Amino acid sequence: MFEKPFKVEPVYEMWETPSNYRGYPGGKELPDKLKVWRVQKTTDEPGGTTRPYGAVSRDWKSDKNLDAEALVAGYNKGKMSGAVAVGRHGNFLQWGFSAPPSTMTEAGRSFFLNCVCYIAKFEGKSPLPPR
Amino acid sequence: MKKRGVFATALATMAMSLWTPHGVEGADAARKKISLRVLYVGDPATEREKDFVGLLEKHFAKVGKADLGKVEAKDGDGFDVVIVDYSGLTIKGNAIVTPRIPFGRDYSRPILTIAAAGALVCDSLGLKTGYL
Repeated sequence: MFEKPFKVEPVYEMWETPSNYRGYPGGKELPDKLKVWRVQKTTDEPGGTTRPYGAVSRDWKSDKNLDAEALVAGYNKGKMSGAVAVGRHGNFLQWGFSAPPSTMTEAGRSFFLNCVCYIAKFEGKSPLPPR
Repeated sequence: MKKRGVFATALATMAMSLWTPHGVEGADAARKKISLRVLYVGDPATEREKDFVGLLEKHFAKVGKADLGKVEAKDGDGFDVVIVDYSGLTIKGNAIVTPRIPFGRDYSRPILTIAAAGALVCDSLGLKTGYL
């Protein structure tokens, strides 16, 4: 998903580890800074708030029994490290970023297009019922 | 309608380093239109719709668009992927109102949902990709 059909070339930055991560299992062991890359052009406001907002799901591990996979984690101020910004469940792929293409980064646009191509492979793979 | 009142932000993290690209799919491949038919479902006649459709038309063989407020499941017929977008969130009190979409868990065509509204839709369908 990060190579075809568009090569995704992230520009990495080191960001402060959000304090909310510390309250979850394993959070205290995280380093002071995390390696991130911008998918969309965000503001950098005091307190680490970034806009536009996106959405993340709680951290869940990829699960073949559910035909679900976590594809990319999202830096967030409300949940845990590893919360899922881009994930797939059956034939549904959730893109958690809210910016339109013109305000995505180049890497973000490439990744978005790759996500469109990726989910196309899941025709007929409706989500299985919860176990 | 289902309501939720939370959300989070917008960067992809270090987990990405696990998937940093190594191989090269040449720029030539990227310049050709990809043989997929994509339906964008969103708010009609908005800059956001224009923005998304513009990008998609540049790269995919066929791109259609539909009004999120009026779309029906059968509108996805003839497309390989349906993108469900929602430019604004309706907030009532301290809660976000989930947009209505006609694509349920039994819908078989590939769907890409976007941002907070997409997460709410996934949540309403009981998917892992919802807010949960």
